[in-house]
Amino acid sequence: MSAMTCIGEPISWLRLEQHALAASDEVARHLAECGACRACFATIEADRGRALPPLGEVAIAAAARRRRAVRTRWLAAASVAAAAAVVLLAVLRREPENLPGIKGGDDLVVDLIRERSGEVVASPVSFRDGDRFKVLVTCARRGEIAADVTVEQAGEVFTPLAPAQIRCGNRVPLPGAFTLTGTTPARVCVHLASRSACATLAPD
Amino acid sequence: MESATDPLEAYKKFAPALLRKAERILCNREDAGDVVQSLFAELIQRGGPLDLPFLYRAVSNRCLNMIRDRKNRERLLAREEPALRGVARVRCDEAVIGVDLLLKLSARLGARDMELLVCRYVDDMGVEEIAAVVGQSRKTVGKRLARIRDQVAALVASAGAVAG
Repeated sequence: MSAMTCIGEPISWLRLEQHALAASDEVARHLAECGACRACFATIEADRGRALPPLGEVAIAAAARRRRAVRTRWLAAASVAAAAAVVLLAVLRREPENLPGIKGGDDLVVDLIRERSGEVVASPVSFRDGDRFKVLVTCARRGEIAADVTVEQAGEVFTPLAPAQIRCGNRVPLPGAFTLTGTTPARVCVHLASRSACATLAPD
Repeated sequence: MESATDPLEAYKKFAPALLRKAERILCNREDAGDVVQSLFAELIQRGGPLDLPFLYRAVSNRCLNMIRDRKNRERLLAREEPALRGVARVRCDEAVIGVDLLLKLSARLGARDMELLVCRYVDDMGVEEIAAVVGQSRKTVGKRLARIRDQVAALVASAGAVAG
């Protein structure tokens, strides 16, 4: 980062962005005189051709994860109330270890989403240099659980994503994404507690 | 002027500005991308205003939620690319508010003060503009910014004492 000083009151980044969308005379006058604000506006101009990440299944999956988290909080509140009632009745009941309603029951399932030049494909079987991948897992364990991702390729094992704590559900996206390169098949594995599941990608 | 009629149009029009903003706060591209994508995914499913000032504020709050969540702390520091903070024109007692300071201040300041902090020291807004964005009087915003400056000064001084 660099620090610069405006000649007066800086034009906020929001106003600079608005100026980039629809020019304002007032902002233009300030930019003509102020090097600091002009430098900021130049970074916006330089970023004009930026490729946007596609708004596809990845984004929908992220929204689903948020809704599940809200639902989980509601479930937690309901569980507290239910537990109080249970104590009053002196009835103890053990909860099942796994969440109901998860596809595949107790299985751990790995799904990949591939982004290639703006095109998003679900469950890809191949890759090219520079393809970007997002990992989704379906699992049924209760509570938070540690998820690790490894990529095995050409006899080497890589860990492209930081370990994450997740809550199980259907197609839960793991934080972050990674790219693949090379000309040999890659095996992407997710490890949850003592379980692992993998998906294999062949080079195009 | 800066509004769109549907979320996909808004995404094409405003996402670059929102990504730049999220990158200035979080100083990393991946988390910034996640913040903007999840915002639009929700807008697609639930609807909501599609003007740039509203979306700008929504991105601030989502970034701050990420910063407040202790589980993200190490990852944010590990992924930090200081260059993404951009040109800092407004400093708080000569301190540039970056990820490290935001993480520390999130333990001291409430959500509303953190939003003001970002408006002033990351988005470089003036008091009048902040008042319009957050819907408070200039006087209230001024008082709260003074409190925030005190907290930043105390934090910077304590860090200096530890370092010294």
